[in-house]
Amino acid sequence: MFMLPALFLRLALFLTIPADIESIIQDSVLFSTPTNSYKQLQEEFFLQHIRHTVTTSPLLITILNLINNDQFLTNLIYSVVDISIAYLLVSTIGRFTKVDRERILKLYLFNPLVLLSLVSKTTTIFNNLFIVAALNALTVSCYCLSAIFIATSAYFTYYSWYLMVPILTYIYKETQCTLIVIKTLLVFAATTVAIMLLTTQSKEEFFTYYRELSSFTTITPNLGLWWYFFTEIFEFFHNFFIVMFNLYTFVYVIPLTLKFQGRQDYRKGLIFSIWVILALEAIFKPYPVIADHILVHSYVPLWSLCFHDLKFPLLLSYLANMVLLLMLPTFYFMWINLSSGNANFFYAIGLVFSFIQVAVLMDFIWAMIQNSHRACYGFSRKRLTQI
Amino acid sequence: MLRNWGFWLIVSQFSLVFCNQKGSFKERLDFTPLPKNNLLASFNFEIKSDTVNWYDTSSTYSHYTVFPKSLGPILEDTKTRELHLRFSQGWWDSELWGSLPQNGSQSGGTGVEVWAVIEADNKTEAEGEWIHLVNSLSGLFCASLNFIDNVITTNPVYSLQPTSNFINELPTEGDLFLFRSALPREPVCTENLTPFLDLLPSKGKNGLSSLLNGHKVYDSQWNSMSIDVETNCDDELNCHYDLKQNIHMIVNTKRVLSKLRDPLPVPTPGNELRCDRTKKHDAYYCFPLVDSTDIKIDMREIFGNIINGENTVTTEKSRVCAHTVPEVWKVLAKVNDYDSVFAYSEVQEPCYEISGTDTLNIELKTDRSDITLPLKEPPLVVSRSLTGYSQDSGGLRIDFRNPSDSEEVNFVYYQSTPWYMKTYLHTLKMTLTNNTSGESFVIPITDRSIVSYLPEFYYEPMIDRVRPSHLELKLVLPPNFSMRLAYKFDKLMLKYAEYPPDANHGFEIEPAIVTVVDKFNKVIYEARTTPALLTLPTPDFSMPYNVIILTSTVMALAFGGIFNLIVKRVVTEEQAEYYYQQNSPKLRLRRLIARISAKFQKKKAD
Repeated sequence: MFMLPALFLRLALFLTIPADIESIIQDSVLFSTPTNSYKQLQEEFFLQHIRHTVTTSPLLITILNLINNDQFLTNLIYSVVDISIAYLLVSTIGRFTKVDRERILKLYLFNPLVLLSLVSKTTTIFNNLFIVAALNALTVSCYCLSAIFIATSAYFTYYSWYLMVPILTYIYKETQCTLIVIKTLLVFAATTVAIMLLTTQSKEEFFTYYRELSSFTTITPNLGLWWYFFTEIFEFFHNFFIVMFNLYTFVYVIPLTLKFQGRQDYRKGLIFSIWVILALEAIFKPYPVIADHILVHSYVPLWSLCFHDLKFPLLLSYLANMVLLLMLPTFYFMWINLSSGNANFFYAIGLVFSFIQVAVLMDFIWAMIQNSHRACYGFSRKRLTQI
Repeated sequence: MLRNWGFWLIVSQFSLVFCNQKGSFKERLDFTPLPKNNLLASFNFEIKSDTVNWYDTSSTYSHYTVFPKSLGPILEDTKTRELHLRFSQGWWDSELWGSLPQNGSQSGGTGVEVWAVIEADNKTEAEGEWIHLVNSLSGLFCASLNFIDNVITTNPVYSLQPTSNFINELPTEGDLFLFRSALPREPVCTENLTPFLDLLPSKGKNGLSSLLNGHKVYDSQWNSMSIDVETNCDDELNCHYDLKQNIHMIVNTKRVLSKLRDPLPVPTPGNELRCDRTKKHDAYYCFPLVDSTDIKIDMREIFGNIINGENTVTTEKSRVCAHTVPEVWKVLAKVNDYDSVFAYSEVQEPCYEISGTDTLNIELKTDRSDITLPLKEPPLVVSRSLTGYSQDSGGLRIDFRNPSDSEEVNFVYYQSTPWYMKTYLHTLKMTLTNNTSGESFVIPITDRSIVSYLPEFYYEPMIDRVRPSHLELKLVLPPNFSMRLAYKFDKLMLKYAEYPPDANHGFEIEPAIVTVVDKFNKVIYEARTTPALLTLPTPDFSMPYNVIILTSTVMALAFGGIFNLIVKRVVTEEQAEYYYQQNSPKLRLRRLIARISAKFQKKKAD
């Protein structure tokens, strides 16, 4: 019921926003990085005409070719993608909890941060769509579809394949059939290969993007922790830490899956572990943007059952987030445009932002552990602790 | 046997006479007075080598005669068939000084520029030879050419094409590769002039080269030093190197004279001030007039030296020529410091041939220095600038103006920008403005109609730390029109150690090259823009330890916190308290003691 007004709002926004403001948002450090910016997409669309290799996202270039880079159609695609995300999100959440669907829809569709992120037209939104779609497909038991979506997402950001670990566990728990698990894995592999073959002309060109993504050759300031670290790190240790940072998010995948598959309601447990992995990726990936955090925080209503176990009330953590989101661009502007601050200010706020995300995430994990324990040993008012 | 040797010696000597060309050396100096008391001095040295044969490896003996022995082996070693070097300083003011000397073919942009044609079997091999070549040249010319690597090297497609005729004449064994690179930050100074003079057979001891003094050459308003080696062949495919060495410099005569008078700049004394008599003037007021047009200047003042006699190795007499308006300019030649008349006849280009061992000084004299030969207007005026003020993105704007009212200009714009300028070529917009009516229209590069002004272009996008962006545009500018090209780019951050000392000074972007061609694609004019100074975002250079520690702390915190939650057992607080009570250190110790004493008692009982 909100879909149509939201679609019109988005299209109207694209039509009415002044070009200057649009370009400010598109270049903003919060919303775009060199790997996912709309400017880069347009540049590659332009370059392919003079027979150059496309590195970032051949799939999207193919889509742009189909619609001939038409402005209105592009805007329409972005709007529809955003609304699809909202729809899939609500149907996934609605399947697990009894929260008010309309409220969640409203929260997503008319969220100013979501709208700004949409205006920035980063390619991250497509990645988000595929992840949301994969989770939704999983919860309605379309396992192959889920694998296809994850493969597509992994095509944009290679670390999305981490999600296959909890997803396969979920499928195994659900069906108790190894054959289906193997089938899903094969579908995932087949899709990856198919996309690779369909959209790229050469192997070389296909790997360039992933090499750039994982070796972090393009250094620009962003929300994450990588940029200042790899600017400042001594050359001798550079490669060692590139490997460490790449391994870092993967280290969590299997332990988290093992921990939460033991929950009585294993479905919710595994979806939770997927969510935690997504959150860790958003914090610790090389080029994070707000759109990554939006995806993570959109799933928060799913965990309404453990809200009362949180140490920090949600209001407090979102207030902290809000303050930091205001301070980040301010410090960036002071450093880059006014030259009245230096890189340290922006880095420090980015560091605090990451820390707050980690703290909130740990709070959720603890709350979820408590909830699982209560679900297993009966709900009592007794306070829980760990030994 | 001996007779045989003698025979072969005679034969080989004959063959030397008949098949091989002898080397030759020529030199010439031109003076051209320019408006506002400026003077253009152009030195020209031409050296022709003996016949060379690269492919005949059996003849290891090679005779260099006048061709520099230091350069020859480098060229042969790296299979360089053509080499061009430019060392320049300052900015050529084409509005004041007209078109560049020799139509710009011998002038470089600020800094050092080098391009070469290398013969090799494949690109990788050619790249290796190129690096080898620039490293050798670096030692030879005392310049930082050894900093040239693939990251700043391009292979021009339309510009700087080889000029040697051997390419058409001689079937080469390998393929030819053109490499080009520039060091805009390189300060050109006296230590680059000494090797330049060493290439000459006269070594700066006599002839025209005895005039060249580093302190004076690099004190000029603008100077450009060029070294060009071409390989040319005659009809019988006897090939030789043609080495052309040129120095062009603009000297402001008034400045030179006042510096000689007062080595330290001092304000003009009151009684020497030239005040505008039509306005109020007294001890306190003076509206200064332009510089006086009275000039009397000689070589000793301009170069600090005089010509030290005739050059003994030249094949024809060295000449000094002055291009002046003979009615108002007097050019005097002073042999052994005695005045003698130069040859200021009706001829527009009076030249003086140097002969004998006597010293020679040339003097230029006029009371109307504002009357000079008419300036030749350049066929195209170009300027380039950076736009934007933020440290993370910016724009580049290039302005072209066609001064002609009747002829359109065809030209190639070449530009290589470093990898940390992430170019977005799709944002390129062309603005064409009519010079008289001021009407203008914009064509984005994505528009098809741009083809009539941009018929062809070549673009190689940058790759981080691998290669620069290489842009070459073939452009057409209609008569009486101005063209503006503007595009956007992002600035990337470098790693801590990649920043040069004084990182906040900015990064020099090398000058762009504009090559004007005629209908037959022949180069008729060449010019360079000024370099641009790009500021990049800089990190805090005192922070490495702090950043490493703080970032690692947050990551370790997340790791420790999450794994703690995952690994530990969940119990109620009461259970935990009970557990801790049972496992308190005191109890544990007591239990341990009890266990040990039990063992002892057991032993005793045994």
